[in-house]
Amino acid sequence: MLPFRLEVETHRVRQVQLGEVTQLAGDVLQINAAEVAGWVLQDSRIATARLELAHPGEATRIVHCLDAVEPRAKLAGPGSIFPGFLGGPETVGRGRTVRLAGVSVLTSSRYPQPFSGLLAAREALVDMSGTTATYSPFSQVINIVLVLTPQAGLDNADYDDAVRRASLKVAQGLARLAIDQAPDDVAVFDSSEATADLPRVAYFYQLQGQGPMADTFLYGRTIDNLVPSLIHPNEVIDGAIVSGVYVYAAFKNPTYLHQNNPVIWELQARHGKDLNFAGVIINRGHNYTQFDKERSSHWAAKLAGFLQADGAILTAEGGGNSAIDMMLACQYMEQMGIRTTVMTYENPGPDGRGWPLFYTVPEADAIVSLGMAEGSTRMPPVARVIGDDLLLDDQTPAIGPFETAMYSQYCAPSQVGGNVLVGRQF
Amino acid sequence: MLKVIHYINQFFAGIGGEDKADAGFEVRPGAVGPGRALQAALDGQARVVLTLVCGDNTFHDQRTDVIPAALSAIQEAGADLFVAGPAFNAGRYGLACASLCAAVEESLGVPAITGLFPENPAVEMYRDRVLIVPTSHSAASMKEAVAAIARVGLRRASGVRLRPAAEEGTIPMGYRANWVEQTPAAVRAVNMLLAKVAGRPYQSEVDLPPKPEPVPPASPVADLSKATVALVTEGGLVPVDNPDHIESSDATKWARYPLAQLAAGAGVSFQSIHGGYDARWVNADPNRMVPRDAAQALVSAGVVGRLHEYFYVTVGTGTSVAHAAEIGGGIARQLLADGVHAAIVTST
Repeated sequence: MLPFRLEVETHRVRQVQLGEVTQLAGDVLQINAAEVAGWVLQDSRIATARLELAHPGEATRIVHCLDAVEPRAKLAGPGSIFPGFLGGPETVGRGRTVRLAGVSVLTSSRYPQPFSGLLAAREALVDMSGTTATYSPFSQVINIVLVLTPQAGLDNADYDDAVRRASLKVAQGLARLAIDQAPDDVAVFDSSEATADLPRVAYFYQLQGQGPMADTFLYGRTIDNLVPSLIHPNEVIDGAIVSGVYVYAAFKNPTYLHQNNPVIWELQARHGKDLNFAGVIINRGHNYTQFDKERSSHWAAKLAGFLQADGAILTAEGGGNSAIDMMLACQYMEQMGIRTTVMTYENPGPDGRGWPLFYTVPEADAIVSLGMAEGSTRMPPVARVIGDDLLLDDQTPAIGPFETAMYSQYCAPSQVGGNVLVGRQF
Repeated sequence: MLKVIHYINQFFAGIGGEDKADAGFEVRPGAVGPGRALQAALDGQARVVLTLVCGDNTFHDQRTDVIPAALSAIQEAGADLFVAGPAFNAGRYGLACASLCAAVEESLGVPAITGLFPENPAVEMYRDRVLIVPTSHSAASMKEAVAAIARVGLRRASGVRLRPAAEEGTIPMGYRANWVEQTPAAVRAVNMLLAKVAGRPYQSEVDLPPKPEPVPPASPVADLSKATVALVTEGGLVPVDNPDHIESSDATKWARYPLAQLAAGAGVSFQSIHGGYDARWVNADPNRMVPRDAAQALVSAGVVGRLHEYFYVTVGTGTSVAHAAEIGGGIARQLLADGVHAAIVTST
């Protein structure tokens, strides 16, 4: 592997408050709401920007959630954080990066035009307290919510781009507040040296790419027609992968969970201890035809072979269609002698008694469960709603109580393992 | 203090063995026989207020009388928990315990529990409906069995959610549900993979049940030029107000609409409410999902006898196998009832 060495400074934020000066003082992040809204409003496609805070434990609900981003900025090394969006497509993953841990920049908005079919931003909910706060990993962090509205006459695609750039820009701006301050810790990510006799583990990282509202971006471009490719894990940490997936809140991987992908961080942490992190293979999920799925999955398995992997961990994003791409990759890797563990959510029906997977292959005999988003759940009344008074159906008061589909819970069975849910036999 | 009602057979009530299996149903105050061990295991949190006794043969010969009598005794006493047995590997006694637990849960909504040897035939018959703790095959382990029943029974009666079967120490009821696991999934995945690579034992977290049965294809249509053909789709094409409220994901319903309404100028607008594909092109021309135009051309050409007057629709995305089987079966039965010989199913 090419020498890629990245130092990641972590500044832990334990409190966020609104105030006169936008600054980081120890573990307290203070934000001048008008100033930060001003960063966003430099883009004329955004008509209004309001900033609200949601802390864990509050009786607060956030609705219409779009992307979540962790504040991060480059301190040293080539390229820009979120390359392709906030800078050119120069390769990132080296030098030094700063991050604010414990906070997320979360966008909340409606789109200007009606949607059709799949390619629609659907309702996405985060509750900050109570039993419904079990469903989202973002119930556990302080959310800096950007509530945005579009300029009149804008189309969905243009507004979508504006919203994405707004959250990335705010995330970078807030992280820059930590420059020249003492970090809580510095982690070094350097997996260039392999240790003899430790097994080589690759990560098969499948991304959703189905069209507007269901796209993932790689260095600023969508992944349509992506041939499976190698990417260094440090590039992912530096924001090379940005989410634009809003179709089903439960089954998406927002940018925050790409930046903090638990599989990548775990493999980095154990590199040289009980494994060698052999590399990351990105694959587009939802290839349109069986032929394209087989072609893509064979290619991914081949790359795992090039990496001389002894084993691979596989994750996906989205629904049943993408499970086929991942399971085929599992099958082809196993046929090449590369052992696999598949991480997947379950779909056993509302009574939990049905066949739990959309698609499987006999080789998928080591499965980690990410829980399920079956049936519906009752959202209790809360004291405060951020985002809107009504849900996207234009009827239901967001303050609750209401009954809603489990798939509206933001990252309920997080497909990269960012959540605490697991499916178990009762 | 919680009130417990306990069921035992004639043997454990001290009436006698097989020769007394026709002893009648009776209600005794307080704890009797193993009920005393149960009372001790309940550890002051609950009291056995009544014991129901019945001979094993009597229960089965007169179950239509015995079960209602037991239910009214339980209801009158205002029980918080019903305990049956444990019956270990006893066949008739085990069935009596399990069927009574099912009746108590389902008719009265009172929590019920029994203890059975895992190979007791009653387990296979009732495990999906009844909470059962596993016991050894014989009453020699009465003390341990009763302790397990008391432990799980008290938790069940207190209204807390039971843990997964493996942790709770119960026989799995056969359903999967969410649970909170503090060890991150990525850590579990790496551990599982390293074990698999090294050839060490590991436990997959999803134990796949037997695959759904393959569906044998219907026999070919003998003469298509005389056949009635229906158009069926999972593509979610419905009148714009979605009058049957078909869900856009994990649908539980199907509907049928007159095929003629799809014709241009019929005055009905259709759109796809399917949550799994980009419906713009279907909305622009519904024939792209339900190919009425092409099918009509085949009729005109004499290739197909006639088209069935309705088209059938559901949504196929995020659908559980159970729902899919119900929907498919429902549509197929309707097609058979209407004398349809063949169907063209378009999918997305």
